[in-house]
Amino acid sequence: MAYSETELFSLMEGIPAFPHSGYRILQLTNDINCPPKKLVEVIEQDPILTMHLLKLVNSNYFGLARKITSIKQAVVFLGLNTMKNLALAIAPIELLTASKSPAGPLTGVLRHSLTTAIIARKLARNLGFAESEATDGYVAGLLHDFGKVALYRLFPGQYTTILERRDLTETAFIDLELREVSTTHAAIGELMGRRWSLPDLIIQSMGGHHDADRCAASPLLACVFVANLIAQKMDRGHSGRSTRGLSLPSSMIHHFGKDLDALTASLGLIADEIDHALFLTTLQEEGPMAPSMRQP
Amino acid sequence: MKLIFRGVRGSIAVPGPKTLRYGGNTTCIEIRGDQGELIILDAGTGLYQLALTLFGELPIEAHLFITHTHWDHIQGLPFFIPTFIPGNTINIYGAFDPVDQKNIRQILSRQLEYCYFPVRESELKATMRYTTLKERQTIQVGSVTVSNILMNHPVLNFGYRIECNGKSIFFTGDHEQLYNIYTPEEEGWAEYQQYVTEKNKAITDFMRGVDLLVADTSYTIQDYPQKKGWGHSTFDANIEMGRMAEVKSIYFTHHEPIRSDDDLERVFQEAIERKNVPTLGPTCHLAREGLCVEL
Ligand SMILES: [Zn+2]
Ligand SMILES: [Zn+2]
Repeated sequence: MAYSETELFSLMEGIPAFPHSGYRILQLTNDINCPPKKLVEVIEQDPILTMHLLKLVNSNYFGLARKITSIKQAVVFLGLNTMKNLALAIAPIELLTASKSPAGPLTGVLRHSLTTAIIARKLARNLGFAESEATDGYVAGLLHDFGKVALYRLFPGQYTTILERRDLTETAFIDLELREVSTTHAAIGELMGRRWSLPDLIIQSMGGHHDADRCAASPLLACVFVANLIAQKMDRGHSGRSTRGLSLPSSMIHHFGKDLDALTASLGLIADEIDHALFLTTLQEEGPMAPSMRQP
Repeated sequence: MKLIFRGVRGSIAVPGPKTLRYGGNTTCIEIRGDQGELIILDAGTGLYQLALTLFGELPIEAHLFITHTHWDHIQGLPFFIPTFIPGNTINIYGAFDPVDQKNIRQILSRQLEYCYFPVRESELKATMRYTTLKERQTIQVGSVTVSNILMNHPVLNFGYRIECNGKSIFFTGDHEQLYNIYTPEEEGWAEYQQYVTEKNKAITDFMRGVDLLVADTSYTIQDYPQKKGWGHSTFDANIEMGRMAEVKSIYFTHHEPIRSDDDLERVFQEAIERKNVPTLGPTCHLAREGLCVEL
């Protein structure tokens, strides 16, 4: 039995607010003339982002002689551009998880979302979109599976079991969602997007990323759709679905003029970029940095 | 101790008739300790000129301190001939990159990747040693002590203090004087100002009393308003900083690539007069490629 819209809305009371600051930072940092104090203000208004950044700048690898206790101080002691780039690196994680750190069962979703975001941006750039629009594609890719984060918050027990089923096809995964929690991540994602008054591109991405015809209507949305497919191929086992028989839907071909394999090849070397983004998601005071600090 | 300027230009190398007197190569400074220790500050295109003078003393042990890894400070490194010759030892020091999470070896070896350069880092014949420095970490090279402090530039940039038997040098690398991003009537002004004051004091204390301050002086005060936030300083700001830090002399470097020798001398002279340097000091000079200063 599926929920009514009213029931879904009341369920969503339990989900934290949309992390607008992460989104604002991605937008602000696109503009080379963005006033420094705007950036500082956006970061300072978000305790989680502030905490992430302070943790990063105070980490041992950074090697600062002085402990940094506020964002303004970090800007003075490290320079505005360094802080801007650090905020830009952290914003996606903030945007996606809206919590202190990605919880265990969501790690796969986070990984898949970041991969999708980076690929969607690259595809958009390759199609000749301006950087600000490519960033919109990035954010839309990052948030396409946000419904999974929401469902996990609402039904941690059942949804963990669903997330752990990595052998399922896309259709089987959605059937399982309907059976276990009576809704789908796409449906709840779309509802949340509307409720938070997010840009239409993001709403469409959250709600329509399994619907090729819906995504074919806009080239940026098509980028997200295809990025999701490629990310599933790359990320086999993490997105919750089997990748057998993936191909580019015929409605999409006119946007790209290539098949899925050629599109994947056109991405070039993005594995590094993805690894780096993923690394930051697991950043801790000590730990994952160790290998790169090793020196002969 | 002595210092020889091997490259004094900022941003990009500009050879040609208009830069003959002061030189067109980008940042590189050779420093010799009292026992001949070879310290090199930055690896701009001037490093190639330095390499040409070293053949008589091979094998060498060089200690190269990178202020930051913008192109104009590292572009000579792939062409530093001693790295290709077995028996030489090249020690390279620099800051960690917090944004891409890379140490100094990882940052610099990218320059030697297949698409940029024919020889890979692992194929260099000299013994290469890398040290990723923390702020205020001190390195001892024979009779020479090198310590660092973070300055203000769009990337982490270390200013280095070099000391040897009572003589001292401070090199800013690329640095812009700190300023408040708020106006006094805005709420953030007071807090921000407190940090600016603290950081400025930390920097002037760190260079206090040096015999020689070598300072990034890309701009005149007329240039500056359009270039605020780009990470470079002016003649006037450096003279003020030098006075606060009670340095004995200042060498202005990182000359703007657009400035001809004549223009450079003119803007220098104007600043000296405007700041009343002959009366108030300290002694000021323009850095010039090949110029040797004995301490
Ligand atoms: Zn420079
Ligand atoms: Zn620079």
